[in-house]
Amino acid sequence: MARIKIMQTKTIISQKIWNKIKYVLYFCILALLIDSILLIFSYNFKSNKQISDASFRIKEVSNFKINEINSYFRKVENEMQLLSNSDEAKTLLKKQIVIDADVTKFNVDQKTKIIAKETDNYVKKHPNKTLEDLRNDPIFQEITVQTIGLDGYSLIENYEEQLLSFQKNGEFIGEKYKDIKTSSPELYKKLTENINSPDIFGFYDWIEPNGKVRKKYIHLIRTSNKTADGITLMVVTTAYVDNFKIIKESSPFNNLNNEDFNNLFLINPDGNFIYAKNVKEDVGSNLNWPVNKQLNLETSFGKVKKQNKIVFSDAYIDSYGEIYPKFTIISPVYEQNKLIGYVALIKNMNTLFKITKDTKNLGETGESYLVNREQDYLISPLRKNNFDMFVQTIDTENTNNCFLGKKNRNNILPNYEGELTIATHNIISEVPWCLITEINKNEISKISLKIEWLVSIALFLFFGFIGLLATTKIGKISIKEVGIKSISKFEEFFVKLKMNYIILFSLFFSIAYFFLITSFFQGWNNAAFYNDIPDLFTITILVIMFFYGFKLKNNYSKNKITQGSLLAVSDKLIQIVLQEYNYKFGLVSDYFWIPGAILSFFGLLLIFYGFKKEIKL
Amino acid sequence: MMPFANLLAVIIILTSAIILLWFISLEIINSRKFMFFLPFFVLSTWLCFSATLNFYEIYDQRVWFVFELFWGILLLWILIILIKKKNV
Repeated sequence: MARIKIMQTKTIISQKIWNKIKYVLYFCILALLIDSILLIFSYNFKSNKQISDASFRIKEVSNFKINEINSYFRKVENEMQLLSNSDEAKTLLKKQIVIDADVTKFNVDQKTKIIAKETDNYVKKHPNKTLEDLRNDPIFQEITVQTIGLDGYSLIENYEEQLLSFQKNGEFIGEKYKDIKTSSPELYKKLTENINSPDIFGFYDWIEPNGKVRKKYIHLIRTSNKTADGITLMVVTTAYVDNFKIIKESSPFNNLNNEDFNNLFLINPDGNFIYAKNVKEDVGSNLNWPVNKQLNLETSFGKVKKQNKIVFSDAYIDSYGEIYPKFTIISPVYEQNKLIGYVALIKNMNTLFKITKDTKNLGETGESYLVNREQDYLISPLRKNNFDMFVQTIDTENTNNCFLGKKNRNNILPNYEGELTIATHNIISEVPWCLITEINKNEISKISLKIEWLVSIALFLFFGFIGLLATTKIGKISIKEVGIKSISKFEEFFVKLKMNYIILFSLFFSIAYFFLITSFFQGWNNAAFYNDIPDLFTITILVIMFFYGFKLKNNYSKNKITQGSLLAVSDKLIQIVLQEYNYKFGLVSDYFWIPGAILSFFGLLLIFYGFKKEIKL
Repeated sequence: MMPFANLLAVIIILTSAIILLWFISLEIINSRKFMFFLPFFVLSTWLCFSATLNFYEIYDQRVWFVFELFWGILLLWILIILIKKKNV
C-alpha cells in the first residue's frame, strides 16, 4: 500500500512538472514558429531585402558622419566669427602698413632655395642636355624663370663665364657681369667680391630705365650638377623691397594659445598679406599679384570679396613635398559697417579624418572618404590606406551623382577599384566635397548567408528534437521516466540551495557566458561593453530570480516566476550573441531581435502573475 | 525609409509594453497595493520609452547603457520585494 501511495505521489509531482515544462515548450515553439515564418518571409525577399537593409544602415552611418562633419564646420565658423569680431584683429587691420626688408629677404631666400633645388634635380635627371637644350626646354624655363613678388624675377646664370643666361623677356640673355658695372656698381661689387661663394645675397640700389632708384634684394645659389657641356648653373632671384608690406607688431594674439589658431593671417582690403601669427611664408605679399593667382588662398580671397561672408576653401596641399591636405577659412572684418580687412585661418584636416576613418557599423570592408569636386581627388585617407590623397582621382557613378545633386538610382554601384559595393553619398554644404560611404556587396551576402545557416541549423535541431520527443516512444519514455525524475531531483536540490550560493553561481554563470560568447567573436577585450555589461547584470538578477523561484512555497507563483525568469533570461542570452555579432560585422537583420522580444514579453508577464500571487499571500 | 523588420520589432515591443502596462495598471487599481507594483509599472513604462527610442534608432551606446542597466535595477527591485515577503 505504502508503495502504491509513493508511486501515486510521484505521478502527481511528475504531472505537475510536466505541466510546467509544457508551458515553456509552448512559448518556445510559439517564438520559434514566428521566427521561422519571418525567416521564410525574409528568405523570399532575400536579395532585395538584404541589400535594402544594408543600404539603409549605410545611409544611417553616412548621415551620422555628415552631421558630425557639419557640426565641426559650424564650430570652425563660430571660431571665425569670434576672431573677426575680436578687438585684436580690428586694431591690427587699422594699423599703417610699412615696407619691410626682412620680409623681402625671407620670401626671396625661400623662393631661391626651392628653385635651386628643383633646377639641380632637373639637371641631374637630364644629364645629356646642354645649356642650349635647357634654354629651349619649356619645363626647365617654367622651373627657373619665375616672377618674385610683383615685378621681381628669377633667372639662371652661367657660372663659369658669369653670363646671365635667361630672363623672361629675353632682355638679359648673354649679358655679362661687367655690363652691369655702370648701371648698378653696388650689385657688381657684391657679385665679383664673392665670386667663389656658392651662396651670395644682399641688398642693393637699382637704377630703373626711367632714372628712379629702387632698393632690391638679390640671392644667388650655385647648383651642384653640371650640364652636358660642363657648365655650372647659378640660380639668381631678385625682388624689389617695396613690393613687400606688413604691419610691425609683436604677437597680439598671444592669448589664443590654442594650436588651432597657429595659422592665423590678416589681409587688408587691398589684398596685402599683412600679418601672420606664427608663420612667415608669403607674409608681405599681395594676393592680387599675378604670381599668387594659383594660390588656394587667393581663390578664397576672390570669393570672400564677392560674397562678403565667411568662405571655406577647397582642400589643398600647401607646399612641395607635403602629403596632408589643409583648407582655409576667410572672413571679412567690419568696423561700423566699413570693411577694414579679412582674417584667415589655415586648418589641418585631422578632425575630419577622424570622422571619416571611423569604421563602426561598417563591417569589415565598409569605408567612408572625402572627394573634392574640382578634380575628383581623394582628399581623405582610405580604410586600407592604399591610395594617396591628391594623387588618386575617384570618378565613379556615386561621386558624379553626388556632385550633380542626384540620388543614386541603384544601391549597388562599383567603387574606385571597380568592385561592387552598396554605396551612398552626402554632399557637404560649406565646401565642394562629397562624403562617400561604401561597403562591399559580397560581405553583405556572406553575413546574411552565415546567419541564415546558423538559424536554419538551430531551427532544424529544435524542431527535430521536439518531433522526436512527440512522435516516438523513446520521447515519451525519456520525458516521463528520465527527464521528469531528474528534474524533480534538481528541484529538491534548488529548494535547499542557500541564497549566497545562488548569488555566487549567477555571477559566475553570467561572467562565464560573457567570456564564452565573446571568444567566438572579437574576444573579451574587444567586446561590445556598453551593451553587454548591463545585459550581464540583468542576466545575473534573472538567474537569481529563477533559483529563488524554486524556494517559494506557493506552487502557482513558483511555476510562474521560474518559467518567466527562464524566458526573460533566454532573451538576454540571445541579445549578447546578437550584440557581439552586430559589433563585429555591423549588420544584423532586425528580424533576429523579434523572437527575443516575444520571449521577454511572455517572461515578464509570467513573472508579473507569479509576483501578483506572492503579494496576495 | 525604415526597414520592415525594424518596424515590426518596434510594433511588437511597443504593443507588448502597452499590454503589460494595462495589466499592471488594472492590478494596481484592483489591489490598491501601489508600492508593491511600482517596479512593474516603471518597468512597463520604461519598455514603452525603449521601444519608441528604438524606433528612432538611437546609436549612442551610452544612452543604451543606462536604458539596459535600468532593466536590471528594476528586476532587482522586484526580486528584493519577493525575498522580503519570505514565503519560502
